[in-house]
Amino acid sequence: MNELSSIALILLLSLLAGHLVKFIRVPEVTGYILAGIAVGPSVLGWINEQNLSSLSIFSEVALALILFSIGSIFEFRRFRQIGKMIVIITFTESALVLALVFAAALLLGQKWEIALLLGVVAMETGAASTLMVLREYNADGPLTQVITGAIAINNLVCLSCFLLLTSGLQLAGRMGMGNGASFYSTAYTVLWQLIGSAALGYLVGLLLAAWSTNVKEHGETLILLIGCVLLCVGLAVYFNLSTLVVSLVLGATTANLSAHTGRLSMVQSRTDPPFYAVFFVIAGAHLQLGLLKALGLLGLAYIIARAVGKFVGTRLGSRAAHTSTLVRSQLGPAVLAHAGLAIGLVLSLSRRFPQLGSELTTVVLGGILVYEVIGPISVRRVILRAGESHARVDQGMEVLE
Amino acid sequence: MQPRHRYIALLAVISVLILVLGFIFRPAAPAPSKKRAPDLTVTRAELENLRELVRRNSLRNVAADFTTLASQVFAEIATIRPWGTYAVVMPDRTLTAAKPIDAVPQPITVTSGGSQPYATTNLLWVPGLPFATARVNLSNNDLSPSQFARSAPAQGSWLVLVSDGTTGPTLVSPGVFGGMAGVDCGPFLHRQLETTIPMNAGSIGAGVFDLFGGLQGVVVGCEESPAVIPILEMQQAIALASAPSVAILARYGMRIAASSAATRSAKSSILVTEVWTGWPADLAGINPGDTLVAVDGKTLSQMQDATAALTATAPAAHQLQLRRTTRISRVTLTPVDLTGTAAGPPPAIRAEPSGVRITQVAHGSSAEAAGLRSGDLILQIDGLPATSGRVQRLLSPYRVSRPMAVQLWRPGRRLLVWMQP
Repeated sequence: MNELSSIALILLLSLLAGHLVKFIRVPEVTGYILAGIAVGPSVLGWINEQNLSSLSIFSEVALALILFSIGSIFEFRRFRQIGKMIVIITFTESALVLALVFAAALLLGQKWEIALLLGVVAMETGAASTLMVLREYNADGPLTQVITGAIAINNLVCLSCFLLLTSGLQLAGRMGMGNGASFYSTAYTVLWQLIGSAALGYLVGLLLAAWSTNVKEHGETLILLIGCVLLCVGLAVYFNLSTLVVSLVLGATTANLSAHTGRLSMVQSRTDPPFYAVFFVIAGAHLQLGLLKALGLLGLAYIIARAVGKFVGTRLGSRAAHTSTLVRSQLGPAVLAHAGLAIGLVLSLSRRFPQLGSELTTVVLGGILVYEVIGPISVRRVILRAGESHARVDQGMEVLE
Repeated sequence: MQPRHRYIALLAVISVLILVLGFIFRPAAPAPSKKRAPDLTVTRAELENLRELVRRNSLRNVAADFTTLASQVFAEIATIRPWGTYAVVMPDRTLTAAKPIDAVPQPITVTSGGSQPYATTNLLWVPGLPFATARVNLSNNDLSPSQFARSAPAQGSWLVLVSDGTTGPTLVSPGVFGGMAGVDCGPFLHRQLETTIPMNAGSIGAGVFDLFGGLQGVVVGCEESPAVIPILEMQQAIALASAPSVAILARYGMRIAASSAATRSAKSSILVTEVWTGWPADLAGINPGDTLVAVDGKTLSQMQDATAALTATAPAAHQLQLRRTTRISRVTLTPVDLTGTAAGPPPAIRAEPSGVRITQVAHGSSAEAAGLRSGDLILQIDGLPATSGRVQRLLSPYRVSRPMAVQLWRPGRRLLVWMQP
């Protein structure tokens, strides 16, 4: 199947799946992902590995758009109110997940390096699928804001930890890859990925904010937005920066500096559904059902320890931050989703350190498979139960405003 | 400037600094070297071909493989005597001799390997082409047509030079193809083969094959050094030379064209558009502008009739009816005699910077008949700058068989001499 027809198939199938899953009260995202699993190489094989790799550019753009809209949570005014709370909750939750998964893996006889890596990857909360559910139900309210903020901070924390951990292990020569890695080059990688990416995101955000004052039309605004997001991704890839940080900072900068954030996000939410459909179907197609069988005890422990960590961690964190009972009781199930960054981290691990074996990859990808189906469903439940779902407005829904 | 704007600008400057500094001080990555050695490996298909050969003959080494490969193509290269050069059996069962010839000796014998010689007749020969083709009656299948390469060899692929053992030691040398460069050796077709195959004067007459047994080119002499005529271009040239209009031009020195509007009669007529001075059409008294009415008593109604009648082989001379204005005239048109007979030794020559000096002209030779004298400096021959090789070739023992223009410098003046058949 060539690229164009595979995109067409993906779009139409995702639409169909989105309609179908409404009957069983499941968010559209789950439908997309299930459709992706069905047509992907592991089941029907209508979309093969070659199609997937040639469509990966769609995923990049879609992920960048998602992170861009998450980044706008860092608007000063709003962040001053809820920022401290979110940071406390996220750190508690992440630390607990790390500790539990690490301990579980150690108990099951893994080497401590692998256990630590598993713990760090488990910290990640899937940004894309969670946000999509929030958008589908046009969610808005205190819980929604906390969820969005928690995801943003969580992804940053997870990426930083991952960078620090791999650099540390590399320096210590613990993974058979110590040779040739100087302190300078490892430290550089960490700083460059975090600070350099932030600088790039800020600069492009400045461009976007400045230009958006002169752009009035819907179409022009869209061109400007897509252009800036693509510029970010392109430069990030070229300069070997982190796409995640760049897109987040781009969103944050725009939200703070532009007087037209509302229009930008409206334009975005009207235009990007096809990107997301492709993104999630591709994400589903990447998941391999066969992994479930290969998960084993370690995989099971990973899944359970992570869930426990998320539930208990958010609860403890909320208590420490003195949040409302709504947040305390509902945040845990809302941050279960697990994908995006985690896949990227695992892939970069297996590319950089092939000797770590496929076990780690299998466990994480299996965990993602489970959580990508469960996560959006539980987010939907939380949103409905908290009463933060609103009817869709035809004239441009503004998710984050 | 408001304080807020100042912070924004400051942050922007810092960001730019971070990016620039970070990019400048990035650790040197072990970049994969872009310059890779040229890929000289034998391709998979080539390898399969070699394996097959090895399997069939249990050969020990690659050199032997090449020899075996060569033995398969031996039958497809034949020798034409008395040219002493190699000919290639074309797929349409004609022979092509890869040697510039100026006259056709009769009879021609063709041998291949250890087989019986074949007598051939009827050559297609066009002045200017560096080779001639002959039709052969192949009663048995000893001479199988060459398998021609369908496409030019890829850079870095393997080639084998194979020459027949009938005139010298069998020569089989493999090498890597590195491209073809144009070489100034007459107006046509010659290429310098860039290859690791050792090429010398001994390679002249050999065929260059790819590892699938496809003929890629034929080695010819270019001023005594070997050059290659690519078979693909040779095929194109033969197709071009086989065109009837070219054949008529080569035989009679005239060009004809169908003309319908120019004449009063509604029927299309055949117009003589060009006549070469000194050539049979000119000698027969045909002028450009004449209309060809009939050939050998057969009235012509269309172009195909004319070309078929004029290129038919049977009669040596044709009776033509021509119309000039209103008058009908009859002329006899005798084609260029392609059959050469030796007429005295060629003149002795010496190469000089500005041309070729004739040092001695034998008594009774065609050169003398044409008016060449010793001491003449040949500047141009047959429209081409004179080189010793070219002059030697064109004034070979075979009598000059068509009118040929020779530009001379005879102390004090410049002369144009026509060497007549």
